[in-house]
Amino acid sequence: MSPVRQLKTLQKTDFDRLLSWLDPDSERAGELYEKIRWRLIAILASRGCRVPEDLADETIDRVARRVSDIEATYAGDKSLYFLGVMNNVHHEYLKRPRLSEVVPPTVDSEVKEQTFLCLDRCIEKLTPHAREIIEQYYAADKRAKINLRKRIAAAVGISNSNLRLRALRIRAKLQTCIEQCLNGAEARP
Amino acid sequence: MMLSRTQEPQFSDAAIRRFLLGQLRGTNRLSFERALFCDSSLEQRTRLEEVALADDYATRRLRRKDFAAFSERFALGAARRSQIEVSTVLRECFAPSVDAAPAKTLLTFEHPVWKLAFATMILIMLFATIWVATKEPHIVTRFLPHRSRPSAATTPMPEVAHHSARPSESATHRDDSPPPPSHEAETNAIVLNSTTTIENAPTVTLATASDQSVRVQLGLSELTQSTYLAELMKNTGEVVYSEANITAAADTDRITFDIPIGHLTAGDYQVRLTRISDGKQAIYFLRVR
Repeated sequence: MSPVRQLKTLQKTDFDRLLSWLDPDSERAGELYEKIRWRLIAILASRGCRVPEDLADETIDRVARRVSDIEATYAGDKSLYFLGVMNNVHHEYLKRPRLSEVVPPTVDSEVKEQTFLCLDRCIEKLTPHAREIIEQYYAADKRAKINLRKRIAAAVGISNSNLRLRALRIRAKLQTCIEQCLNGAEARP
Repeated sequence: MMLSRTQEPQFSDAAIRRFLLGQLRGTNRLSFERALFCDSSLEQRTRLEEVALADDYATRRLRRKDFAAFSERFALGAARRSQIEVSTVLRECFAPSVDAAPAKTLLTFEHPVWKLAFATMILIMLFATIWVATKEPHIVTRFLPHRSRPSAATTPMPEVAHHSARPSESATHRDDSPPPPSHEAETNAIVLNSTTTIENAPTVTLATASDQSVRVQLGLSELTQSTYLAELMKNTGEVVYSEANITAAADTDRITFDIPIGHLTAGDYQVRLTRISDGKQAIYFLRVR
């Protein structure tokens, strides 16, 4: 079993202690946990790590195991503690022999078809206004898009850069919705 | 890139994009990483830029340099691959055909000035042709074919036409086609160059492939005896096939990489060649139809 896999067998008590250390409110702790995990993955990917999600989980596991030792004395931004541990994990990763890290090929056509179905469902859930923005945002080609954005921005009464932000936020919501939809589809028999 | 209006460093959208593509270096990278943990607004902006980057990739708006960085530093992990998948689906769902768009731009003269200019040009050419034909007929005759009176053709009878005049020769037809060249039996190799872009990448057609593998030859920039790792990746960055310990002799400028057909489906691919001794990498693009 690889070190990554060994560390993944985290005790539930350690994990619960980690969450309550992050925030006494379990809902806020969960959100903070997801944010920290996303940040770790983003940084590790940016550093060229081929398995950013595995190393992020390994980092969180290590922190979870140390919480009982540090929770009484640790002062400062707790999320920065993860950054320090992540640096160690990444340093060790760089020293490991390079494995092929081959990702098994997936059946693209099936996944794509399912993604299309989920996209339809998620677009239906958007408000008509949001749907219009996202459809028009993706409908135009590069040259037409610049003029189109100006037109939409003028019609909605916001600046061009705000329109981009709004479209990207809707797009980010779509992403979450599609991922949940795909996970639901996988869970179904 | 970095503005210091307040105590916390502020990062531009371009800086965020450079971080996501792994192009931030040294202290800039370290301060960005720290800020990402302390500044939730920077996190939000980075998440949005992540989406924008996946969209730009799906709509093929990335520069060549960014395209390589995207594959090596961005398209890593399941969440990112899922983002790219959604961007691709959104593009296919809403955007007009990417291939059809340039053709439309080239062939359509939507602006009235262009229409007028084109019509005027055709009229001028037409009048010039008529004027030349009228005033200088000798020029025209030079281009017209000389018509000679047709003479009676002496067509041999079928039996004469289809059989040899020499009685010693067999009555059966001779097959004059040359023997097949010997190199036809060899596997055809596709030569890939690291300077080629995705737009002009060579295309492999699976329907016509007769062997169990596709042989590609990767051009090397230096003539040194080295061992290489070749990895075949999809445009999402997934490594679908790799071959380690490919050795190149000191006197050759190419390296051979055989890809089993089972690993190929229609789509855009890239081959990443890593020199084992120093980790130097080169990217080669390939299209499969």
